[in-house]
Amino acid sequence: MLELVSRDMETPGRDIGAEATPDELLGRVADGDRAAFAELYDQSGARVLGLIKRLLKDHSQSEEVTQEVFLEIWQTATRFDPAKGSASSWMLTMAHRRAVDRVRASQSSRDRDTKIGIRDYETSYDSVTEQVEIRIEHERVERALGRLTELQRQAVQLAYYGGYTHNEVSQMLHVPIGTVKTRLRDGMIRLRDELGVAS
Amino acid sequence: MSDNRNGSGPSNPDIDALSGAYALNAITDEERNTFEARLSESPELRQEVAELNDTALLLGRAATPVTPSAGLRASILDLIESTPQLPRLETPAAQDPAPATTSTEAESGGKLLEPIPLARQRWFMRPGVLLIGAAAAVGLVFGGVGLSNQLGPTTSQTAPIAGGADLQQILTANDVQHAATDISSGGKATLYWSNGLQRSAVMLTGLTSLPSDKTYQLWYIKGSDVKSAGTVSVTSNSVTQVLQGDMQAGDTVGITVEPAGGSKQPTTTPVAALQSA
Repeated sequence: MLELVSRDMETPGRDIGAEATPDELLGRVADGDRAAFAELYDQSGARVLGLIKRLLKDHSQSEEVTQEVFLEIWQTATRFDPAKGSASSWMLTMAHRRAVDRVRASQSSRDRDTKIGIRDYETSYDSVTEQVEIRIEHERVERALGRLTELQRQAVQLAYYGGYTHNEVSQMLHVPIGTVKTRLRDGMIRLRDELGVAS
Repeated sequence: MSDNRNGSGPSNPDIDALSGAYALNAITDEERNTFEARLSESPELRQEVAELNDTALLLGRAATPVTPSAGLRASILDLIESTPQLPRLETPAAQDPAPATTSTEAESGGKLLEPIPLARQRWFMRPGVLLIGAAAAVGLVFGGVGLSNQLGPTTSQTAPIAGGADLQQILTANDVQHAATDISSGGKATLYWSNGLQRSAVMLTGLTSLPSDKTYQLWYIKGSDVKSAGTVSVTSNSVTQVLQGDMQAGDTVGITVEPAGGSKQPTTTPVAALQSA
């Protein structure tokens, strides 16, 4: 029997107090509740924009894509199925997809990136002011990434944070496509194990 | 028994090895299709992908949040005032509510349930031209305004909508799909269509104004068969309009600039083309 892995990726114990959870809010959004939508946006807008900006770099483009994402959230909240994942996972997945679409649409800047190289996509510790919980997640992921081989890590980061296809990653890292495919897979499996994602 | 690799499902190591790239969105649309077909026949692969998707999400959560501008909030909240929501799906019966094209993805990883697949633009002429544009619908902007002029509190600045009733029908059709592209002369076009209704509507934003002796014209294009779908009556730089005539599944919708009054056949190179797929 196929047991789907638990989708609740929220860190346990990270109680947001009296605030409605994204899942509750999204449920109300599906009923056309605009106030709930505004609250959902206030809760998750910075995360969505943060992820998109990680890929796109440019702030105003990132805001544009964020707008697309939230409009899609509004439009398709009626189709969200909580059995298949948390609201925040759903939104972040959508954000990543859209950001990747946008990155791929601006081919010329990508060509330039390919030449310049990959330094940009290394994760970096950032603003001290960010919330502690996010720092913790950030560091946890950073540590896990640190356990990958150099090639695995670079491939995963270029793919996820750079929005590159495995083909492009292979060109950038000067390794055969088959190798990149394999490194992305075993890198992700390693990450999964390090981060304790399992059924 | 559950081991598909020894069973009937033709295991394909080359395809299966894409699981990591798939979870990272690091594949092309074609590869995604191939992979999802394979996914539908292998429970093991689905399990692996579900876990890798969750892992990728942790990468997403590790990105540093960035506070959006106040203008973005105002803009989004304003836009949803005039944006209809998709109707709920009829079948609440758990497992398979989504259309076939999205079900594998839906069950495989809590990935985006994408009921309105963003058809990728396959422009019928040259690759590499700007027409490919951002694969991104700016949403159903009836208020028809971009971020820049969105800061005012006005909620009633609606752009003209031709054929309002039809438009609602199209946008709320169960099988509504959309595709978006940049317009080479400026602005963005988003096509919404329903194969069931055989109708489509196009939303144009940020249009470049034309001199009074010119007009934008819409076309249904099937191979070499090109039919006018009406001229665009632009009174602002944003307009949403239902196309005249019936749409056939797979038609490409083209936009050209024509002499005022429109032409029988296009006389210029399209400024945008959107393929319904």
